[in-house]
Amino acid sequence: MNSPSHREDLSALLDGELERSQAAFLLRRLQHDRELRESWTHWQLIGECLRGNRAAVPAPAALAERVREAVTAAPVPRRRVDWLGGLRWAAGFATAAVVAASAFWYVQTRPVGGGAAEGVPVLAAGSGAAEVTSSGVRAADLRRQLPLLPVSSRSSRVLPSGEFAPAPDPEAWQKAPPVAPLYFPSTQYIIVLPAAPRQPAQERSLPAQ
Amino acid sequence: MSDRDVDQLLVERVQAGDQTAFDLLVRKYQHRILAVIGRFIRDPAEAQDVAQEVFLRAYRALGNFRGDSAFYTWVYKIAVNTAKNHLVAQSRRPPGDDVAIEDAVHFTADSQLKDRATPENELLRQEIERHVTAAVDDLPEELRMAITLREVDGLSYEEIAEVMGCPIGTVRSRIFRAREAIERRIRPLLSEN
Repeated sequence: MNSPSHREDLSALLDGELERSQAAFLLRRLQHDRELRESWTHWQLIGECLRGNRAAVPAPAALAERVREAVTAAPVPRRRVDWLGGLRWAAGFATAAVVAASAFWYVQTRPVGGGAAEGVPVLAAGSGAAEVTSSGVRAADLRRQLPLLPVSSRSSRVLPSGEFAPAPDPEAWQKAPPVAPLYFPSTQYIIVLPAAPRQPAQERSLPAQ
Repeated sequence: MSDRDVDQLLVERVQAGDQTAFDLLVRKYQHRILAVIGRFIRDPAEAQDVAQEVFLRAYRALGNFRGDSAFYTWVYKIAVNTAKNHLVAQSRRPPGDDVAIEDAVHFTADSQLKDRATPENELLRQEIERHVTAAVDDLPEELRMAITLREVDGLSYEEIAEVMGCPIGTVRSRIFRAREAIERRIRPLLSEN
């Protein structure tokens, strides 16, 4: 015989007034309590009668038991995962990750200071000193020939017109390990060229419209 | 939790492998589903076989049920399709006067059911209804009011407590005692069934 508290819990479950945790506990008890299951059936029917639902035909007690037996032999209907929806999410996430990684790689490897990606950035010199122009030399070309030294804002200086930057120390060149460690992708490299003679102002003027 | 929430809770339990939860769903809706099938199939034994098939199909397909519609509406569709297929398989023509799915939950259809229900079922239904009514009339006032507000008016425990001016725990207890008292009156009838 089941206790009145379980029966009262069942009544509350029928009305949707039982906590989920209590409902789970009660359902476990119902597995082994046929009388409790029958009361559930009867109370449902009582509700139908009180609501005047004449469409509810009193089902024979055997029907639910027959279904119960048939269901026991059937596999458990696990909730299906929406694989298509999951794939969509995964594809979206992968695309975003690739874009983010590409952007990060680009920012890390591109030369600082504006300029073309492949060209060597130039250092704008002060007026009257050296004029710096784009050399057209590619960083990749230099990488194989010279151990390029990074230029920091503290160590850099503006060279007077016609003066070249000192050549690297030959010993350091010999002792230098393979080129790669000497190359700092995110650091600025410069080539300083002699200033070109200025063009007369009238030659630069735009044609009259 | 609403009635639909209770169903959803039970469905989730079934999907987690709890067959007892499905048993409760069957016991809750078997009366209505049997009535739906009875509109297509008059023979009671045959209708019960089809009802069993309906619930078994519902159980197998429950993995796909996502709760977009009410559980009963979903089972109702399965019941109508299964009953029609049954008649077609038997080379019998299904009737064409379906009830719309949207109306299924509120389906009372007195006129149609009176015509189609078997005399035995109709007699039993009337007998049970009479006993339930008599049992409710015999209840103490507070129990009668509590069960009526719940089952007929569909109020929540909180609303009933407000109407009756008592704690929710008392409402819960009164409704339970009312159900127990009514069940005692109809149990002999249902046992014979």
